[in-house]
Amino acid sequence: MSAEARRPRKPGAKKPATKPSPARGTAKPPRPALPAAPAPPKLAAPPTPPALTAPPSPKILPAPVPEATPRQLPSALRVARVETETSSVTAPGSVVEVTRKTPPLLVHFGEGFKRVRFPEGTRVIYPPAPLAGVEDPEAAIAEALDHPLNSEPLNALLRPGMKLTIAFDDISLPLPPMQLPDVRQRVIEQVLTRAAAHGVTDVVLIAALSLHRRMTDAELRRAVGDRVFDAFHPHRLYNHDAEDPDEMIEVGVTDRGEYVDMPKRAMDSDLLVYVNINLVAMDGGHKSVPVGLGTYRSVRAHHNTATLYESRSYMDPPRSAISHSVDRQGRLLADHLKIFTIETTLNNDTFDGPMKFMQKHENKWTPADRAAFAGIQKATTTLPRRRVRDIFHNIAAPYQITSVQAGETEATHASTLRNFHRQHLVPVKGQSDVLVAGIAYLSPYNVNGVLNPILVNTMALGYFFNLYRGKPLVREGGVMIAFHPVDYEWHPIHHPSYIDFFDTVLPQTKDPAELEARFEEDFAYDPWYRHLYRTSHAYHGVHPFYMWYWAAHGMRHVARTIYVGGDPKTCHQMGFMSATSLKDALEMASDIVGSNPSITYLHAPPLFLCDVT
Amino acid sequence: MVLAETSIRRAFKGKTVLLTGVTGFLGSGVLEKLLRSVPEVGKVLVVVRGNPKYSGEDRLRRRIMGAAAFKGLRDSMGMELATLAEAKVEVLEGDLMLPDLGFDDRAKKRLGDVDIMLHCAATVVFDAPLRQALDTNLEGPRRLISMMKAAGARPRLVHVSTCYTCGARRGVVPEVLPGMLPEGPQFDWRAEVADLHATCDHVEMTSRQPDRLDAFRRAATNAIGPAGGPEIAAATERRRLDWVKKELVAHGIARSRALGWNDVYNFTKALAERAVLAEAGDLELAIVRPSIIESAWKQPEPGWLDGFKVMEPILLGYGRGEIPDFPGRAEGLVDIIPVDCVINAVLAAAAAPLEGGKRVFQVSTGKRNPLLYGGIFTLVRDYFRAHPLTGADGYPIVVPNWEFKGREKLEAQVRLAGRALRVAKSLSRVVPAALPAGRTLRTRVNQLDKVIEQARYYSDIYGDYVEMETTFDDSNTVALHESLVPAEREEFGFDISGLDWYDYFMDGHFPAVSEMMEQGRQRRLAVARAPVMPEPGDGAGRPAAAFFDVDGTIVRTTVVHYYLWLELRQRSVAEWPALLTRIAPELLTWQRLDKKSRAAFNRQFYRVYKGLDARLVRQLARETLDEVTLPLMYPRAVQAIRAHRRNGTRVVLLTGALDFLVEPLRPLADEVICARLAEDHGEFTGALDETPIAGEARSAHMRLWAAERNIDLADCWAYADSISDLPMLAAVGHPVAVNPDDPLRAESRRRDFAVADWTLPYGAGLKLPVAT
Repeated sequence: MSAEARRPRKPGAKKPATKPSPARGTAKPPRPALPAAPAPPKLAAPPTPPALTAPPSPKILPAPVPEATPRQLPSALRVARVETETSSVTAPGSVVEVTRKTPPLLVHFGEGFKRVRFPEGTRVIYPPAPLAGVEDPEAAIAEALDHPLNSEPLNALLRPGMKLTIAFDDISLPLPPMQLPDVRQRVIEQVLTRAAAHGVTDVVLIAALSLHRRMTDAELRRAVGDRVFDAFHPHRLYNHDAEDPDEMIEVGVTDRGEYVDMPKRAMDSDLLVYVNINLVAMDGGHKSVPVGLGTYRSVRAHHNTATLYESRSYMDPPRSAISHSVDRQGRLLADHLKIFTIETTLNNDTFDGPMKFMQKHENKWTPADRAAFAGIQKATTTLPRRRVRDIFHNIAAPYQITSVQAGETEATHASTLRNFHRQHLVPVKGQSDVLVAGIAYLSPYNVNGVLNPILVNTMALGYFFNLYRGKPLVREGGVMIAFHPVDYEWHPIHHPSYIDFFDTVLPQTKDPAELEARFEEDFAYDPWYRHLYRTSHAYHGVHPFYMWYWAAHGMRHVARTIYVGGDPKTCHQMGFMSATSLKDALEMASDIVGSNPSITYLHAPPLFLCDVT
Repeated sequence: MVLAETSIRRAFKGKTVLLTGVTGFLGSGVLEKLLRSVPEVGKVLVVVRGNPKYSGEDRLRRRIMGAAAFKGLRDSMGMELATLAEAKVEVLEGDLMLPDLGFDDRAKKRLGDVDIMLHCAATVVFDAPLRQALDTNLEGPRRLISMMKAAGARPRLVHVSTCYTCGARRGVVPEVLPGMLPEGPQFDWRAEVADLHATCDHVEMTSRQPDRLDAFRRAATNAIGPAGGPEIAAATERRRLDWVKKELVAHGIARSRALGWNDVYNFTKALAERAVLAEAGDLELAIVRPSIIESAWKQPEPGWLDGFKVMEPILLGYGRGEIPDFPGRAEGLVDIIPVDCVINAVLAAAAAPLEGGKRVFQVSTGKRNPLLYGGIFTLVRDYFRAHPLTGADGYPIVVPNWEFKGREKLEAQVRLAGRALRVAKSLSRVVPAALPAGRTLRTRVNQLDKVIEQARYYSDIYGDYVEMETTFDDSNTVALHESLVPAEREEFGFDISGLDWYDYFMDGHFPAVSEMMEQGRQRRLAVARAPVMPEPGDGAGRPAAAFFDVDGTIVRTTVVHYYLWLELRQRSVAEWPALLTRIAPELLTWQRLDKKSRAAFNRQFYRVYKGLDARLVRQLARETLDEVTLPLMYPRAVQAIRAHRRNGTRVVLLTGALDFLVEPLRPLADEVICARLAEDHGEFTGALDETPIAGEARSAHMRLWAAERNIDLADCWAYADSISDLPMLAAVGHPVAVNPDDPLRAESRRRDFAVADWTLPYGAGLKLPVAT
């Protein structure tokens, strides 16, 4: 059972519709929702950095406790029509129909925005309003560590002389990066405090980045905090290296032939603690360790077109073949390695300050919101592109922690998903002919980088298309219309193999299965891309293929994809069309969906998950 | 003049014909006509020059089986054409420019069998060098006739000349033998020819004077100095030959004009007529003088044209919108004659009963079917408005309206523009090419230079022609046509009075020119698309290597970039100005040195590392992969390297950059050859460990390297960006100039290197190492 967030009771606010449910396989009696954990001692003076050789002592570790401010609730929203279903697990998201009076809607357009007037009758899906976070995150973490699910408490697993490895989610989570302190820092500091208290000295921290790019020192520092970074970097805090021939070893092969490879360090450890952030429903669970610390060979077991075509959607674990595959790997691994999983969920409070308007309904924009929009809009069109990029990538989300759970992986993840759905699930009735989405500046794979054309496709037909449970938001044979400039633009350090993939592979075939068979290994085993992955900050050579597979189901499902404002040449090379306006795009789609199609507009980010019935 | 009956078929029956100029426009037309319409002919001996690639025989076969002239025959006869050609045509390999024509004994003996000589060969270039014009146009036929006579032949001679041998004069020019025109300077043509040869020798000797040779060498060094000794020597000799050529052109034109001819072509043809007349002695001689030969009217097909002739450059220049106006008068006369009329006239002149005499036939249209400049312009304009050419940007070109302002006004404009250009040129030399502004300026200047050069050329070459107010009497030609037996009039006719200029241009000539233009464009595009990357499976089974220069080729950097970055990286921003002030004067020295020799530059430049802590520099250098190299790396370079390695080709990085800066690139290649700094007690001494491998040392190194591995450099590729890499590129079978500097771009064009213009993706770029 999780340490669930307590929502401040306010007049007019709904009673949270959550119910503690017994975690799977736990025989323990239910605990109170908020543990009576002792408040961490506060320090008057700023903490002194710990010595380089030893893990930080408990006395100096605790971080300041941020205030949990009560947040505005969605009852204040006035919209044309709100379909809200009282669900046992959801906060109300809103599904709004565009009427004559609906103002132009905000549409994300890369590093900028558009305001677009949608045809009357368009169904707009807004994210649910942010839930309140837990009042005392430190206490919630402590509670989770002390009363884990289907596991002994963390303290009981720690003993002097043991080998402890802490792995944590990389730069791809959360999006955008959260305001400090990062939840990883909070959790890791508590784990380290306990480890130190139990005389554990052999501790290593690994950024579980799988085949993603290595995090820079600054990024690592941001994720784990100054004190941990200064104490452990670089020798005991480092990036995972899936291509290290001396470090990676084979743990076993599942009954379906899926390899499980892990770093020696992890397998030699007496305990592996995994620190996770759950932002979308496919994060966490068994995906964390076998994938995050795996090799190309082990990741390839499920990152392939056959599996991804059968994952409908990724965000719906029971119906996701990729989820089943990582579960098999995780269970095999659990037989060989003691893993203590700590998972956290965040609310969807993504933008604050002048950016707040992005998560508001347009008819609720205040004059300040309008001014902020106009100002930022102006800036994005007049400032040099680099400056604009810096502005966007400096956005830090005021996320709050809505739950912390720990223990055995599967039990923990079940609880995580319940808490995740509480924030993110939006019930939606029926599919539409056309799905519209604005692709923003960010994806998990371009933090502090460039959302290149391949990633744009991954966002549109990989992520946004997959934001469903049940059935896709767009009917089979429907049309996807996305907003993005789709410039031929690449990050030279992060995405070298992407350029190669776009320039040399896509002109030959766009079919995911075909390019997988013909070209994947050439990129995956390329010495130069391997070198850049290992020593620079490049995504693995195979990564652009995964991004293309990610959209495979979406590309097969829809009959046509049209980018509004997209560069025609770049779009064409990927097999898509480009239009200058939504009106043009709808006109171009009319031979497929007719002149009066049903349209759904995903008003994201913030992200959410549609429960389509 | 009245002629008795002329029958071409009868006259050629069983005869041995000697034909020259068969690889040219008129000559190939004559051969085609003989094969098609005169099957009675005994044997056609053709004089063809061999070249290093193809023998004379091969050239003729390729011509018959490939040239547009024979298309109709190929279509109707198929493989029988080859059999026919085999039976009727015999190649005498030789060169009209050589003293004994380069004939072997068999060929010399064969000349004794000749019954009819059709001399069609000529250098139809108005600004040909004097020596070449003399040798081909004058000495060629003279030698041919004397050698035939020596071999015992007494052939009928048909000498194709040109109407314009009359020199620049107005009014009607009669069909009289050379030297019979009333006005004009009187001179002894033999003495004149001897003097012209002496002039050629003099120019040749002058070019070998020490001061001249020095100047050639200095200019070559300036242009391609960094390419090294052998290349400089080759360029020096090229410059000398170019100079000789230019001088000979100038001398030719000057002498021609002094004696009253427009250009060296007409002048040497006029001399040739006199020489042939003298050499002919008592042989029958017909001199056929066509005016400006253009595309076919009827045969082998309307519009048949073999390459661009006199008029096409202007037509196309106009169609491309490059010639805003023309230096001529609208009422000026253009005397154009379709090639098939000339062919038939040549055959008829060979068959005509001359009764032992000598005759001149002027084949022209000006007298009986005149075409005015204004008229042709209207046709051209209408045609290009209806069928515009495609511009470089892919859009149709809108042609201007010519106003015929007159030559003087136009030339004044050109002069003015030329002056402005000179200023811009000197400016562009001051602004370094490295700056974007410098590059833009250079491009603009080069473009403008081309336009002005073009205008000047058109004006120089064609100006006299379009100002000419000459008509050519063609009474003899008319009589010749009248004398044709009725059965042959249709097949061999050349009566131009029935020619409809509108149909001729609109249905025949312009479409043909347009098509050739389009073919040319496609060819050029195909050349521009010469592969810069290997095809999958290229060189399968044969060991090969691909040599890559690094700085400027794989990465848009120079060694100076890295050094500056390393220096800035170690300092706070406040200290940067001091550093930059210290280095600025050095930059100029380095630039100057680099223009002379890359090796000298490297040696000098690397002194800046003197005294630096080797360990620290090496440590910082590791950061350059992310901070300098990757942001400026051409994705296409990586793609090319990967494509080579997929093919099993060994990739070698060959660079003057320092080992610790190249180190991060090692996984890209199978082998890295780079420079190394000497160290003393942990500090760099500023000297290199060994001689830098630059210029011709690179190709020498590559040859050795390849020989050791049993690799043939002809199978190898090389990629480089700078003129100093010229030997490296020249050494391999597949050279690719990557974003070449100006001198290398010029050399690449000359040598047909593939040129790759690689760009950085949007979003790439360098950040200054501001310490945080």
